[in-house]
Amino acid sequence: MLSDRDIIEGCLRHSRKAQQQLYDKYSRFLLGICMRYSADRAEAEDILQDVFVRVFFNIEEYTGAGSFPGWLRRVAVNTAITNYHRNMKHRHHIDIEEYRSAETGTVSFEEDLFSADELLKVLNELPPGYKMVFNLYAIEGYKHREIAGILNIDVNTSKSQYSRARAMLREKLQKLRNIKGEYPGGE
Amino acid sequence: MATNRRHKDIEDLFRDKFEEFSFEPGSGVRRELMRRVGRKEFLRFNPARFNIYYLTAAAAIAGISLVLIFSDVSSRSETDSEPSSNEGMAIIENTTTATDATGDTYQENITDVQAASGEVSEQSEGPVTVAKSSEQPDTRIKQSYTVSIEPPAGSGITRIITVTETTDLKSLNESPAGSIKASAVEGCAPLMIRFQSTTEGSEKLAWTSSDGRRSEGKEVEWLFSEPGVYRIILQVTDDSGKEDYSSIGVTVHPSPTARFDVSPVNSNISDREIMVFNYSEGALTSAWSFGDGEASSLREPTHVYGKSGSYNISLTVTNEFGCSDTASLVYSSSAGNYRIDFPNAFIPNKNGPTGGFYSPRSDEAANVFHPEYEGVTEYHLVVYSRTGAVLFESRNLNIGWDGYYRGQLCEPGVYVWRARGRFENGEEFSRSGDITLLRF
Repeated sequence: MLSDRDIIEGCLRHSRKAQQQLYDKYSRFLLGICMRYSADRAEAEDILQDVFVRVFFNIEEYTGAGSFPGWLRRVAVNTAITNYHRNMKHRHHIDIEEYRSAETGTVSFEEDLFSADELLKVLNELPPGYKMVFNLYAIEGYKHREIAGILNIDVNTSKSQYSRARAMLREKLQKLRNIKGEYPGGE
Repeated sequence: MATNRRHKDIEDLFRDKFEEFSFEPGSGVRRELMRRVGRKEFLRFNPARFNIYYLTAAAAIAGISLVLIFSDVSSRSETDSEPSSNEGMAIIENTTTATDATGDTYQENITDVQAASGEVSEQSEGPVTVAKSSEQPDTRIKQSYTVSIEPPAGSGITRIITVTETTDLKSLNESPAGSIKASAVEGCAPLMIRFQSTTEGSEKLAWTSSDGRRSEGKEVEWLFSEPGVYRIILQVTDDSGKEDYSSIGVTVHPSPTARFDVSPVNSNISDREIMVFNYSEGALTSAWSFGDGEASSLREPTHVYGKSGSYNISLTVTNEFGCSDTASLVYSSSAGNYRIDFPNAFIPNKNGPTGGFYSPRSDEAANVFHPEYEGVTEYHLVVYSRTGAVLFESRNLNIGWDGYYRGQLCEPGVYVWRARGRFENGEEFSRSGDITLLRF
């Protein structure tokens, strides 16, 4: 397995071998990111392809500042955002049921209670816009002001969507926890 | 703050789990990706890395130009022989020594000068070898060759005929053999050509083409579907059994294939602006006609239809030989898709009046009460309270109700609205209903 440095140099020469190595080394990591931004696996794999095409043809944009995986991650997130904008259709009409989740109780969760797959499933149940905001704010660490710019929405919208997303997640996780039966009821 | 602590819990939960989150992509992803990368590499000239495709392309272009040059030269000298592929066919192969060109129309006459009987070429099978022999003193004759046709093995027959080639048009008239009249000597594939013999007598006529077709009779009509350079040979056998040959060369150019697809640029809002996808093959230039009088010569133009309706979009592609192909389809713009729909609930922004300006993108959270529409020109929305007071009024499609009245957020509950207006096709609409204002 080549080092990142060798892989980057190879990719700069458009070496097919280096590209394959890059894929072998990082495709799983990047697909993990894409999964969070996609409705399903097929969409995630489509995004993954776009990510690699962008990486292969824009590798010179990686200046060496910061870690290489960090740069790949940024490319993946940006590609996912592009994909989100492209796929957005009639999403501003959200079923009223989505709003019925009032803030109930105060909850914290045991760290190992849920698997990553379960969390992903819960995340995927959010409306697409909420999922985007939650991903960008909670996991990627963007500021609401930045998210507003990225998603072309109001700062307050980002904030309110985020708080609703969080409330919905909390409710869903509570339900899931009850189903699992380990911690019956809320605290 | 206590609430912040609790919120952090969920964030941490997700952040920790997703930090090392990885998924194994399907095996097809890699293959598809590499195909895409390969395609993109191919289209992207990269001088730093010598590209095998460009080498291949250069070789192909060189090959094609060689063929073109030779087919040009072959109006004087024939090089397009196809040895041993055709039984019983005399193939004439020679190299030119002629330097003085005399005419555009070229006819090749092959005269059997040996006092020979007529049973020869018909039966002769097998390879033909050509040996150049002495120059004839006749000024009219540029070249002469000895063509020996090997008879089938074991027959014990050896035949030698001498073929002379003339370029003097006058001599053709004197020639006992008839010449060939062709409906075309050049054209685009698929090309149908009718060949006619100009002979008047009762000679026996046999036609052979360099791609192995054979026929008999005074005229023959052949379809050349594959591009290439072909030679048609006419063998004339007179009553006394004497044979004469005429030949003519035809060039069939490749034709492009026109193919395209149409897609609305943004089906979300309107399908009057369209994007075309040009899938044509072998095309050099494209000519689009959009059926509304507009045209374009771009490869993939976009187009905006001023009015909705059915349009005949056609694409004519032409290649470097002037060969063309046309494809067309009927596109229904907007397809009578005029609509306006209103939601039945919305959630005003609690932080203050927003002015109600919205776009489909900016109002994902349904903060503004507004319709979704297509093809609306005139619009007037009024929102009433249950007592009948006008709370909001808008004639601007881009401004909906933000849920505020005189700077105060209205109470959650049901409000009544009425909308009137006109679609682009002139049809008027009038809708009314109720809207639930929600607050969380």
